[in-house]
Amino acid sequence: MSLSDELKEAIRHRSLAMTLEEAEKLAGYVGRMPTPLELHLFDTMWSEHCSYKSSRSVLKLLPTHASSVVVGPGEDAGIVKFADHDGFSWDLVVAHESHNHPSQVLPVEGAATGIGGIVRDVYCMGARVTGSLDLLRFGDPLGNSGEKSRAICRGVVEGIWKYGNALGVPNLGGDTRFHEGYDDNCLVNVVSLGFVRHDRIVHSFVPAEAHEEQYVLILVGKPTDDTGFGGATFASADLKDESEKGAVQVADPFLKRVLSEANLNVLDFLFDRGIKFGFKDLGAGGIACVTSELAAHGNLGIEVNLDLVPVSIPDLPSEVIACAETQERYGLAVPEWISAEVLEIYNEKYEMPRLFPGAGATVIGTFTGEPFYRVLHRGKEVANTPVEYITEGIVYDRNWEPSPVPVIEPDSRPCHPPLDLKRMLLSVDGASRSPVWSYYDSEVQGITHFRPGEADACVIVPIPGCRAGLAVSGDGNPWIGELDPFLAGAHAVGEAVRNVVATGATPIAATDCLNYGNPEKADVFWQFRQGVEGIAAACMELGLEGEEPLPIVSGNVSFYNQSSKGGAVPPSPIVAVFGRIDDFTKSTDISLKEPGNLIILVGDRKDELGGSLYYRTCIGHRGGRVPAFRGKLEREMARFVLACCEAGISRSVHDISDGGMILAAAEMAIASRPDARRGIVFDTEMLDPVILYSETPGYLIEMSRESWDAIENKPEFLSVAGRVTDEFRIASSRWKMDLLEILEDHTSRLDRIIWREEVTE
Amino acid sequence: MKSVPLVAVIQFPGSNCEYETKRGILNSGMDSCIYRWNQCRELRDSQPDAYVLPGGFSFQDRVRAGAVAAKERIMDLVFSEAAGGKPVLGICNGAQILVESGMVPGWERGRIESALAANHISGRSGYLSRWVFLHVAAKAQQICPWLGKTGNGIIPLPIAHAEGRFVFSEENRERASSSAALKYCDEKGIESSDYPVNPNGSFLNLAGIMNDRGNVLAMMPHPERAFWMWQLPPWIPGEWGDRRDQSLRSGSHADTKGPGSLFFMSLADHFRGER
Amino acid sequence: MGNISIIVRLKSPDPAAMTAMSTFRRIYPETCPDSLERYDYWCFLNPCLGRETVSGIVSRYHDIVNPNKQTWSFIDEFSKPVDRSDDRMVWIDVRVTDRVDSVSENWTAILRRNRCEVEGVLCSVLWRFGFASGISFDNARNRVLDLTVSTRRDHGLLANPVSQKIDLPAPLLI
Repeated sequence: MSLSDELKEAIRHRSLAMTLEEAEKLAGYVGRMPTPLELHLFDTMWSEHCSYKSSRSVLKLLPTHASSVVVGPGEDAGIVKFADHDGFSWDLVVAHESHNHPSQVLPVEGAATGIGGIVRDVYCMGARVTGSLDLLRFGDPLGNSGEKSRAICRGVVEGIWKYGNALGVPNLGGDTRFHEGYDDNCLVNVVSLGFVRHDRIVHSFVPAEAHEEQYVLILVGKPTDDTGFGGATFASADLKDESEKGAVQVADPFLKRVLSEANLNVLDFLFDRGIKFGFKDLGAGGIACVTSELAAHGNLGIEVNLDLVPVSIPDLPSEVIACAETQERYGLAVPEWISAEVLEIYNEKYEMPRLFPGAGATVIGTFTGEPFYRVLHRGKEVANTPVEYITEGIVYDRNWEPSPVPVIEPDSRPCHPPLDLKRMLLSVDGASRSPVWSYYDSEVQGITHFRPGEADACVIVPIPGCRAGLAVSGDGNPWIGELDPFLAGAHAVGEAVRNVVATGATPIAATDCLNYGNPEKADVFWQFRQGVEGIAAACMELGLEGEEPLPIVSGNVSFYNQSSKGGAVPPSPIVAVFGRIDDFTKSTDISLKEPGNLIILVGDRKDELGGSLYYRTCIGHRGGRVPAFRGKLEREMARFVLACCEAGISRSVHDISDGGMILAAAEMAIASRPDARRGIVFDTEMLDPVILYSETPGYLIEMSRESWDAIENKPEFLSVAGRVTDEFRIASSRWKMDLLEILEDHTSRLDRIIWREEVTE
Repeated sequence: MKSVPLVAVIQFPGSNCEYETKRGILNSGMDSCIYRWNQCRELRDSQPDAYVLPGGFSFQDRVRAGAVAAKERIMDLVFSEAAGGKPVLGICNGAQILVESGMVPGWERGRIESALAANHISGRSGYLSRWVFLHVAAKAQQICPWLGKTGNGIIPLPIAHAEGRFVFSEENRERASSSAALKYCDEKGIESSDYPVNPNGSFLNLAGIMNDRGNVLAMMPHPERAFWMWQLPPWIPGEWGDRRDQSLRSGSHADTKGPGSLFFMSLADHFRGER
Repeated sequence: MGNISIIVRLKSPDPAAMTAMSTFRRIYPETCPDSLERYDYWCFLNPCLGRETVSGIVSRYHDIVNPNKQTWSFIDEFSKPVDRSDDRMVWIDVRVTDRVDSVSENWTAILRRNRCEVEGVLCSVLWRFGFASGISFDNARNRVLDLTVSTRRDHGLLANPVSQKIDLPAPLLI
């Protein structure tokens, strides 16, 4: 058999995702037929998931630099400066990933592992993890595949609470959206954040000291098995049917919690002793990736002995031990002389072997001066390749072809505010998300100021004793995505920025997760390019700190989100924005406070209702003309909202998005105290869907008349929209909608549909 | 007793509220230290004045919440210290451990006489996070060192649990009311067994129970998550909602103590009284 | 029509069984079993069409059995424990059921609403104890009850009789 045939056979037999050309490139590197371990290692390293081979050339468009950025994209998580307190500088660590494909086939485990993976990325920078967000996209729960979509939604939420709550990381919301485009491919994006002392940031490579003294590689965590074998390549292939599940990992929040405590203890121990070390979590590609990357990024080689790896299944082949994606593991590079003390912390102090049979810490490799990646197993060499090739990666220039959606607007737009508002409040997209949040623990760690739903962004006070607050929000609108992929990217940034700004926080960093179909298709790749360009354009405009852009510091690309029939999900760029408020007690929530106060509209309403909740739920049309992105205006509006908050004159603030001004007003009323119910009466008498329902970006601010009168040189984008009343209703002089009669329905709607299966009308 | 009382916080494998619980104790003017489950000797040698079993998921609630942790060796010490009269508080998972250890209601020494079973809510199962309202039983205020300063007001606190329903066997239903420490009620103080006033179907609307002597308290709500006023939701009604608005207006919001502080301040007060 | 029960097991090792077993080994080294398996136990009350009805429900709702992570069988077709290296081992099943249980009630409501032709469903956990040969059945049975029923901190683990019912279904494969 020729080498080419041998490679072809290996690709087929081992279900590798790599192309023959890629396999031949690998064979050229090693100068022979690659070993099975090498094939699987490079299959992972060159997968879309790890190599960004399709996306890398486009991602260069994103702004990633700003003076606050400490670590940009490239390591496991991004880091930006946050606050100084008590003689220390504290940095914010953020990461953002998807776990879409696994969650479609195993919702509970897929979602759980999604959190498990993303928190490891933040932990391994040396941080304490203090929050996570879930950005969920499910199929239409009342559509043709409703039963399946509902079950997936239930399972994903269960996976999130079972893992996140047990781990003790507060859930800081996120969003949940439904669209029939996700019927065959849900999206489960996860954001994780934490804080680290600036002088204790940990890097994921073996330190330079390893050139001088002997360093070893400690593997710590769960014993290796075969459950995750092939996971990275799994995420990068079309989802054909539901038989490809061997790849889904089993998460263990209990072991992870103990491991996290032990890790913090070990890292403190090493820092206190002044010892330099490298630390990295095991994700895609397992032991093979972590060992080779720790070595390669430190310009060293490594020799790994697989016989030393604790396994929970006997007689696993070397490529499985090396590449399996067993959860809850880390790799730690330390000087050999200190390794016994490190092992003792894991194995004796924290008793990992007792708490989980086979778990613990073990030395499995030694770093070498020769830059080779060598793996031994049962007395044989099962891999030997120059380390430089492992991290070199590959890049493809994909073809793209514009495929814009024609603009079709509805013929007539009837406007019955009470009826329309009711329909929107009771639609699956407009209904309260509290049934979802009620499963999540948002308050563990005792740092939560605003929980999901109380303000436009969750606000935490992460450093005890320090008044700096962190606001975080994640957004992305599939209805805009399917109509205009550029604006989907721009508005994902815009809305997340508005949500953070509405609480009074200044955005300091953003992350993105780009969810698309098959990048080998020219129209899909165009959608992807458009989304990235939209995000980049918005980030260039919406940096509110000085004249710098809002930096994207971490992110992820998820391709091949499509059904077996090949239909891609709606273009789904999802963005999370992180903001800082120097004094968290000044942050604003959305609940109406004082009757008589004015409701100020920030941002004129425009006739751009394409994809709006009103079009979809009230006239059954998706429209075509979606809101334009007006960067300079957005920036000025945000500056105004922040100034009001700083001056202490805004009593409540809510951004205008789904459902327009009328739904924003209703949400502010619903958030009011149950023993002091409030409502809004609008000044306008016009029954104009543009004024009431347009989703043109903007804000509603509650402030007293005196505060309003005292504002000098009012910008043009301001107007008085109405005032706060002590009646629990939204009204104008011509119509009124009592909220009490739909409150229970609005609050329990998702619970009844998703969890109680009350869908037979 | 130490000049500054030492309150030990026990960390079980899977605990996750130990750090904020420790902060609550420190912020109440007492000393606190976290002891790992296998630091039995260190715990004994430090002779704490009181013990807290914090919230979390010890052993990930496997088998039954609290059941496995109740059998850890470190609980031998907590058990005998409680028998000697030292104050012991179990919060959420800590309460589950106390129930599974037989330390509450503790009528017959060492016997398990109650359960914290899975929430019973129509149409819903699994974890539930929400804010609830509580009132404190009169007798409990007198004899329980964790409740001396809680007063007669309505106390808002968050719950976050999947297994928080107090259950007693049929023959003990009468007796259970004498062990009541905290009961769920609505924002006006009126009890109801209906969801969501009683958020989990708990017998007698019990949110917390104690032993006969009153020194051991097991409560499902989390006081450490309402230690500061700023931890309260903006919509909280009633007296605490008014107080929250007041602290915001007066600019003291960051440093004003919230309803959860009452439990820790009660203990500090208890120790002052003993001295 | 009678009730029809199925048991469901994880394809990967069951974490609760693992923790229970290591707890037994630590605190009851003398009486601890040699093997312990854990299963979800679903009893469908009076299905109209018998086993077909139950199979239909199981394949329809992945909440009950997700074939990507679990396997299931009718209780009477379930003969062999997973790891049965020693043919002479003594196996005892014990079933633990919450006296009041939202999961059972909610699934009863869902299945009725969706016209699944059952009167209801009752969920339990089935623990399967395995003892190496040389132990009498009665002796094994007593040990199982001792290990299961938790009446004191130092007695029993798997069930709290205050809130849970414990029963030993008829032995299936002795």
